[in-house]
Amino acid sequence: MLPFYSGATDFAPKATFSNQTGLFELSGMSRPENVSSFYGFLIDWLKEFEQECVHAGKWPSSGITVNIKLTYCNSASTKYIFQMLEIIIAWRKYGIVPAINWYYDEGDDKMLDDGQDLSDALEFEFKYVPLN
Amino acid sequence: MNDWPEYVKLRIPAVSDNTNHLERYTLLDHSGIIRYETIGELIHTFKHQVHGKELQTGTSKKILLVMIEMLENIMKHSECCNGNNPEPSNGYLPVFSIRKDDNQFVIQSSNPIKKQSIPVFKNKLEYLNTLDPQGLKDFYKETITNGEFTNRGGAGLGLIEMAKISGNKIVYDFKPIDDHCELFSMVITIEETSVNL
Repeated sequence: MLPFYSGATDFAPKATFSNQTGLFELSGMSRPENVSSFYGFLIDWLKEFEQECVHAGKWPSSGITVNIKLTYCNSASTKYIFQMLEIIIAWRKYGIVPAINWYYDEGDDKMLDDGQDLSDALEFEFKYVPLN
Repeated sequence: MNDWPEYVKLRIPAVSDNTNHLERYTLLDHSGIIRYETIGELIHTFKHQVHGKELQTGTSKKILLVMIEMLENIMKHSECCNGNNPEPSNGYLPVFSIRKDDNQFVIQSSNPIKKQSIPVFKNKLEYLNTLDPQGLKDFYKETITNGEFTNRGGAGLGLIEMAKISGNKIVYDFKPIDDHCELFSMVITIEETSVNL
């Protein structure tokens, strides 16, 4: 399978999902025009990765790291990100414990709070990383 | 500041007696159909407008978040005034504004919506206004985990998000326009030093 890359636009995030390194990263602003299509591609990619790599025991030796570096996320995007993380966290049944890093601008309490709400809903600990 | 049409004037709740920083100005005042591109233009205008206003990052971010959710809400429920209906509900176009009113920001929208959409809105708004901050967090968690999306692509989180950010009750009103549409007006207030999340 191929890695997934989508460049950032004014209102759609940059997405870099690598099946080689196991690094999945979203950055920028997330209110894509067609949110279901944008995140649908990412969710489909994760399901394919699960089938071809995780299920087959061929995941990257460095493990799985998820970096969420969003400056803004609309509510529909948040729900799709929840679904993506839910898929990744479920890989614990294969022995993968992902690292989820939630970046936020220092002073942006709302973005930090969004991460804590997602972590609470997923019942999975995130690492919170303030950006200067 | 432009005068709002009489039909969108709602009672704005007094939030505080603190009059140390009396200040009134308009940040945004838009009237017209809301499309995806319109929201982008309004975001840029908002960012330009807050530049130099000495707003705390947290406050301007909260206003921006409420603004986008409110505008996306209007966009998703625009059947009464979109290209399929050249006579937009007897001239009732969507109206949106953000203004500073003493120590609070008042974010207000008004737009025609289909009558059949009203019960969902009304029930949710009534329920949200009964919840305290922990209740809002619990409802948010319940909604984000339910896996449901509306046929308009909505996550069901927008109104909850706005209520969480504001920390104040949402003021709203429905007024009949014609046989098919009603005018839905909503006011969200954000205190300048609000720490509600």
